[in-house]
Amino acid sequence: MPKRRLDIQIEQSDSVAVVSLEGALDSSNVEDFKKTLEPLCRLEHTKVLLNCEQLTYVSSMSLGLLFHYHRACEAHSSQFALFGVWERIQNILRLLGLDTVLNIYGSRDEAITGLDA
Amino acid sequence: MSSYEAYELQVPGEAKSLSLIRMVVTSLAEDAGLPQEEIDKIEVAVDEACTNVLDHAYENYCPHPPVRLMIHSANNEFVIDVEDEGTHFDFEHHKTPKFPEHWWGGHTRGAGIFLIKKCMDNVHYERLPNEHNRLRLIKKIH
Repeated sequence: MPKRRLDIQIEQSDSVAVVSLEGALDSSNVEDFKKTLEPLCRLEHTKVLLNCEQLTYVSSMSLGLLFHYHRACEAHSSQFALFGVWERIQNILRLLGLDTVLNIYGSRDEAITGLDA
Repeated sequence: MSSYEAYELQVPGEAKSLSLIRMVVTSLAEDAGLPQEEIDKIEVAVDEACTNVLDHAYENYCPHPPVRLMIHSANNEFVIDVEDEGTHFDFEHHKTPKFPEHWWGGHTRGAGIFLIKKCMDNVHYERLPNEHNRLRLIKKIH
């Protein structure tokens, strides 16, 4: 059987939380993703960064949540961004118009710098 | 995959089956000689189609019936049939949301059929005589 599990790692400092995803994010593991992201998106004045460098696949259900988290962060004077998104996933983000409403950067440093700007 | 070869895959109607479905279908699409960009689109379409079966067609079924896929290539087409035993859906009259406006309305779902249609060249949905539903996904092989 192929690997089903999504590995989620969190690195958190005073004002930055980086959530690293490894594997495929689909409806079999979206609840794990939600349990991780929802408390982080309620933090005040925090940059919540989604590290997608090892994320191989994302279903539309999970992509739809990204804008929800983007707005939740804004409501708490925080910021939400993705970095290291594979081209195949960026193509889907474009189809759904999410590339125009989400903060998407090439790397972690670019995300931190870009959100400061 | 040679033009005369057809494959059938029956899996439990559970979300844990999705990764296996994606692996099998993308592997067969690769064998059919499709370019990676098209294989990626097929992966999205088949995952969204099966997710819709689990979440909608099988919403009121406990336990979920299985999901059956039939995959073949012929006449320069790569064809995936996704067959379920659940509730029929009015595919013809489904109104596709507009994006990104859809997200501003607070929705987090509702993009599946839009993506299926965007990612495939032809899509047909029908009720079969055995009262199963079949979604046929077609990608042209150039």
